[in-house]
Amino acid sequence: MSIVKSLRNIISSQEEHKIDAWLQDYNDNSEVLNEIITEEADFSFLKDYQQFDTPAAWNSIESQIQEDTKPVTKQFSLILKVAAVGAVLLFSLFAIKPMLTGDAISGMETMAYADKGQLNLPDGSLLFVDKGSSVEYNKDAFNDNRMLAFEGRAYFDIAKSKEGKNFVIESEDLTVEILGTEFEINTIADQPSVIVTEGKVKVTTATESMILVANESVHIENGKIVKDTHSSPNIKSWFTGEIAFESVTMDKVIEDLENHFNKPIVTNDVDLSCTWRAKFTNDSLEEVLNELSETRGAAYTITDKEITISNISCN
Amino acid sequence: MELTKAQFKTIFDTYYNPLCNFCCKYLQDRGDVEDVVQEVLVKLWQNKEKIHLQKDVKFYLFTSVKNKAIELIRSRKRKGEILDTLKPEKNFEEPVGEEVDSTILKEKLYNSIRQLPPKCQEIFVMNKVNGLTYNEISEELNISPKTVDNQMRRAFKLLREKFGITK
Repeated sequence: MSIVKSLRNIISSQEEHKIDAWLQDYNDNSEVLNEIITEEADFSFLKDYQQFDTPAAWNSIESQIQEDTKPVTKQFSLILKVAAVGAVLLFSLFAIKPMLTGDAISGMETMAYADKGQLNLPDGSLLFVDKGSSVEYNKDAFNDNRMLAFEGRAYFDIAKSKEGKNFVIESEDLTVEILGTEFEINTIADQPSVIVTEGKVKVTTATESMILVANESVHIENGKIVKDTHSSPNIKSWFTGEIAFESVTMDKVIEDLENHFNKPIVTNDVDLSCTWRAKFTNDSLEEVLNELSETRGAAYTITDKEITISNISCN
Repeated sequence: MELTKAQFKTIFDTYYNPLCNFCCKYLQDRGDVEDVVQEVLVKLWQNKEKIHLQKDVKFYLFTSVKNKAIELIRSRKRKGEILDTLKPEKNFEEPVGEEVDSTILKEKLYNSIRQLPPKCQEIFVMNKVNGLTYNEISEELNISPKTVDNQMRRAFKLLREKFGITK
């Protein structure tokens, strides 16, 4: 027997033992059960536990492993979904409500951004607007009535009003009232969101309202305002061009990249618990993905509508 | 790793149901749940030569199921599908480790309760899982409280025997 072969035999018999040991381990926690099975015990945690159809599942699995072909992938449904997102996006762009005004009032400005841009408002407030967004306001009356209609994504740096006038932003699903501050609104994401970096903001939907302070963020889900548990350090990255990951898990990385490039990312066999460390300044999508591929072995494809990242495992 | 089909079947028998129940924490639809778990198991078999596990296979399985479930949720959200089929705002960061043991424990308990004789099982579930008192059970089933008490004793005896607990 060759050395390699005998080695292989040793390894496989070791592994066999390992598997047996694992299953042994499964059967062996009588101590815990000893404590659990008492007359006083409350097993209400089993209420939702259920029995799945194991024999049918085995049949299905067995047929798949015998063919020894890859299981049916769900990539088709992913492509469909992207088309749907495109449609939603277009819809919300064309569905901007004619607001604030009746028809043709003098001083009305409507800005539709085909590319990223900045907007200086008459009161000194500054907007960093993402492409595909639109802003509508009355420039003549703005200092008296700080209101604008907005759809899209923008970072707002709102000037303090000398007379203490509020600043109101209206969009389809929500109204944001600023009590003096910096923040970001995204109304065309699948879940509109407001992120506050400084100051105080009041967010109102059709059904409820909430006051946010610095470093808080919410998204809107079916008309409800839901507070986010964490906010990313990269929230401004899409307009500053700087994005950094300090050993961040892949689920966060992907969320930030989606936000940065404003494009949906589909993952396929990506271990979302893997971490990544990288920093970019004004790098293109390809440059970022190449780095990911070099450091994490990822494969990627880019289409007009979406990015697909696959095969990331932690080792 | 080397994995015979018999071993794979044992892994399936051991973990299929607990994995499905674990996956229910993330997905509501039973069909989705079973799809995810089956996909993970099939992948374990297909990649058995490539997979080198440092730890117990159960951690690999539970982590993969969680990741697949999250992948599905992310893709559904993007597709704009109604979120009814998805559980809202699950904290995806919680470590999978403790969940594994508690799910496996639940499976064992659940499984052994299911093996109790029918009447005994019914009474045990009414009391221990649904929280009914002996009196409520005796009214509900039209039997004496003493019978309920006897059946409960019997249930505990059988469960302890099953798990080799001497008390």
